[in-house]
Amino acid sequence: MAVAGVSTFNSTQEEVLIFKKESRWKEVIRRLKKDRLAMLGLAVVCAMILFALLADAIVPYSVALKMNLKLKLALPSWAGGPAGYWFGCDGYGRDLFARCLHGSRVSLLIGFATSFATLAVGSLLGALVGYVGGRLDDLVMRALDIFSAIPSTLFAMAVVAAMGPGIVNICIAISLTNIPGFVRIVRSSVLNVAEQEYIEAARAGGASIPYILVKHVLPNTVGTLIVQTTANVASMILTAATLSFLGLGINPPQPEWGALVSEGKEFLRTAPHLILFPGVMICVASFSMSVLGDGLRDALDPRLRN
Amino acid sequence: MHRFIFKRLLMMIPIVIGVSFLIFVIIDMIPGDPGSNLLGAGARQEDIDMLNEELGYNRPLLQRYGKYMYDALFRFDLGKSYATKKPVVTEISNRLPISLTVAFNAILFSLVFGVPLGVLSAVKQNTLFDRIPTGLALLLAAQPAFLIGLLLMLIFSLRLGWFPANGIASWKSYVMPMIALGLPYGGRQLRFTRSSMLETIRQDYVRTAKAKGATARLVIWKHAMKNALLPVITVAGNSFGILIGGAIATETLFGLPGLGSFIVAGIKQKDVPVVTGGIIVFAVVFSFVILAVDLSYAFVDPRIRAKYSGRRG
Amino acid sequence: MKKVRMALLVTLVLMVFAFPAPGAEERTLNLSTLAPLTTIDPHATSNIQDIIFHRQIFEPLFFQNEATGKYEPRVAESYSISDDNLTYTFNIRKGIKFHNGEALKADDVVFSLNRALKSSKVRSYLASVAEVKALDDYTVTIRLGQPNAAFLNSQNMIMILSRKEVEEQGDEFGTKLTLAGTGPFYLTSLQHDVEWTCAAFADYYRGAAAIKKLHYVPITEASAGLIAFESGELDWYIAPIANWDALTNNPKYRTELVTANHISYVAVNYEHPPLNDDNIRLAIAYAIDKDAMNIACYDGNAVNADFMAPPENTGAPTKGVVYNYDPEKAREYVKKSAFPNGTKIGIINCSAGGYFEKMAQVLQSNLADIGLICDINRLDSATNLEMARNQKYDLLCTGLSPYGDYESLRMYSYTKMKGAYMVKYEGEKFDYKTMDDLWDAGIATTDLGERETIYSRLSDWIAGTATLLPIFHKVQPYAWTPNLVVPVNYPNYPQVYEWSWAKK
Repeated sequence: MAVAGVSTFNSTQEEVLIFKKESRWKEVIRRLKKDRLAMLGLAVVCAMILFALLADAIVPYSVALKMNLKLKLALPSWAGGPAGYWFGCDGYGRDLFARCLHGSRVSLLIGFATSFATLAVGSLLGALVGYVGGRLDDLVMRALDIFSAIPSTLFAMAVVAAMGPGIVNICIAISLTNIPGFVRIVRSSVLNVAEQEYIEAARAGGASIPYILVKHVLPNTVGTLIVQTTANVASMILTAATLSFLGLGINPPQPEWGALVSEGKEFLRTAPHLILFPGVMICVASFSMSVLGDGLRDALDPRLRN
Repeated sequence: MHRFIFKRLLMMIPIVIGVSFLIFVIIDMIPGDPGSNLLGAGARQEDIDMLNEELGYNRPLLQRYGKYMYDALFRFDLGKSYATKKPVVTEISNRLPISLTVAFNAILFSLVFGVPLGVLSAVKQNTLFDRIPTGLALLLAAQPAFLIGLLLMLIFSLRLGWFPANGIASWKSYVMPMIALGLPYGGRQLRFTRSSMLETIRQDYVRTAKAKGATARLVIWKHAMKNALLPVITVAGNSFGILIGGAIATETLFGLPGLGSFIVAGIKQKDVPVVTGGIIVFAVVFSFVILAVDLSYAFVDPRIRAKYSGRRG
Repeated sequence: MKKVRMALLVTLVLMVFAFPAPGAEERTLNLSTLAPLTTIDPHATSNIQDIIFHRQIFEPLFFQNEATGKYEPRVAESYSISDDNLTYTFNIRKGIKFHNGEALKADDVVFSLNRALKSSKVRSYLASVAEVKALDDYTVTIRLGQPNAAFLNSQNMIMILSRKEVEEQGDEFGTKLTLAGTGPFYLTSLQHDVEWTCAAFADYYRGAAAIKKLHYVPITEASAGLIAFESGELDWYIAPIANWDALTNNPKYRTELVTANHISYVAVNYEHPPLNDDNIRLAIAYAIDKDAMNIACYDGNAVNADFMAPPENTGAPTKGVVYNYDPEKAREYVKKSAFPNGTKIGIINCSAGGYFEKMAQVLQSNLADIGLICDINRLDSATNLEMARNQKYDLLCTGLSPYGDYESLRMYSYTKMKGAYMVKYEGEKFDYKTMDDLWDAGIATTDLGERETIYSRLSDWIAGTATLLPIFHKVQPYAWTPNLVVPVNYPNYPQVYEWSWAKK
């Protein structure tokens, strides 16, 4: 990983590291700022998070639960539906806008929580086995082989069926299926980094394993981790949606985008707006996370700079 | 090379044992028993007990698992389905070809439109030829599979009457599942090809080749493509592996009696032999696919071939 | 690849030589089930999707017509009951042939009933049977251990099979093609989870069916099934209610809404506080807006239920204690309870995927309106059932299909039959012995008037506990092509034998 400007710099190992870190992050941010699509993605993601946080101030949660069966499947107000219902009403006459808005809380929570959980568990485990190697490495990797040989949707289904529904259990099920892939990525990055000279130097200097892992190994794999995590957020939201489709999503009446889409499925032909709005939400969230991830990857990989 | 393959085949045995044990334990944790499940609401406890006894479900978990593994490893017998009483091996051998066909078609379809568009958007980076396909790919990848499937059905079955909405009567039945599954994966394939191509294009030897005066097209096709193909193979192989058992929503929607929906039905009915057998077969197929991917690596890249021939696998 | 090319070629050829339409008589009737067949052995299943199909190829001794409630002779021509109500003598119809060509004898009947008695799936229908005997080749007597007024009703669920065919197939019976039935159609091909076909049985004793060929496919996804129906792949279909208006308004289809022999209800677990408070349970009973549930689940097409059984069932009550939506009264009961300001009352359980989760959501909303707060736990149907059986729920939204007689409701409350009831009445709280005695009395007499009196008392006893709250009888939205003549659409089990192709 040669960074521009480093090759001519001539000093001790420690100073090179510091220089690398600072200039590298500045460089990354500079490059990211130039990527207009990625910045758009970032803006949309931030806006969505903001809306999710402020959801209660915009429309109280009780509105998202308030039934009025006279308004079952009512059209959006701008399409001739009752006034005040921008997205129309669902199969119980509940305000679809309020449900989409409050649904973003759960969906984004599932997306981010599971991504960070896999990030934390996966990277720690990956770094540990990659660095320690030997028996531990063999044992953990074989165990992960077993996990990843099971189709993830089926595994998640079985786990949710065994543990019961609910946000926490769903997050655990989804995270479990994603950890093996994550461990592999981090482990191979660690193996790459561990062979570098400065790590060997640190080890020779008597630094403890956890110290080396946290201080030297993790920061150097951080790029890969960020990219993988942003990509994960989008795919986790979709996985949760698939679980909802298979009837194992979060409990009603709490709104969640995937659940809203699968609830709307039976009305696809009579009231397509029920699928349209949450569908667009999933699309926008996943799209913006993906372009942000792509932009970050391009910015982090020096070979891709223009 | 032979040694490498042999070693990998041998490694499947602990995977099969591990997978089946894991599934046994998880299914056991699901509340209820197959007897009360199969008899449904309104059944008497004495009938439930009788059925569980018939099914051998009243024995302890480890004993059941031991018998199952013994039969599976030494007699290639995966037991009988609790619900249909048919041998699981027969059921799976009916379903696996369907799942394989669907997965293969979908991957082929995703490659056919994903790879060329990916190359195009990499070569024409930051132009409209890049933005439009990439945007499209991201949109497709963000769609739940059942939604694409339903829309396809409305158009091609109902409006146009080209393909049947249900069943596996002829080759026509496989067209819509292929598109419904292939589209999102094609989107993924496109993005992967693009970034892999970009990485290779930027690599020094490609630059050197360019500098030496080779025409751009030659550089792309001869040098870059071959190297950029490696990660694409991995993604295709992985997706193929995932799709064999993972295309559940699509199988349900189009009424395809595949492996995925079989296992799902098994989970719902606590049909332990079905779930375990199905997932074991899936794990074995998956391992074979991964092996094939690794071997194709060796085929494309002589350096990796050399590594496999050496002592460390 | 070859196959694909051949198929392409054939398609092209067919398109070029616009083939003549087959004569109306030979046309195949395309039908679907909501799930793959689990078995073809009628004694080895209690799955309603299996039973719907089995009824086209197998027959019981006497058949109970769902629409009229009357018993029609099938394998047996007539029957008589001994004075002590304990012995039924069935006169077997002469000249009946099984699909394999063999003649049906009393021996087959005895074999079938004894076989059913050993099956965990169906033996509960014959719970009162003590002995089955053949007097001669065409007379069978069934002796009951105790009187059972609903015996004719429950024997309706036991199909008569060919002893020879079943014994020949042994363990494999049920998993492969069989000709062991006497019904109007016989199996011609069988792939449990893909498709199966039948042909009209030429030697059928009531005369061969008008429709000569049947083709079944399992379609689990309702919206996909509807598209299959609309594109002509199916001739008759139980449509999703969400698309009902579009179907009825389309002149291309015939449609009919038929009330199913089914009851959707809410069970209340009185053992879990605060649901042990009588006033809270009464408040819940009055808080339920049946109309709202009906609209949410069936667009208002279902039939609101007053009692725990469809009115057409034998012995079903027509008057007595009924709770209807009255939020004012509900609030009064909350005030009278130990929790005048409302309280958390626990969790509503329901199974995922069907309309029960809709019922649960409306129930939650109805209860919130009177200050009773609860959560919903949406479970896969197996887990839901398991928890319901073990009273591991507070409130439960579910449904049941009785089979024609009020007696079939017994297993949901009778305390002497462990495992079936959802609400466990045994205990300090209620005088459950009275209820048990009423159930016993209900089948001890064959006098219908007497039975109706007993069941009406039972109905009031159950309603008095406010633990089983009837909501509605769901509807079957049937749709079919105008080419098809369907004289009667039945609540649960279609009888394809009665159908015919329209004359052109």
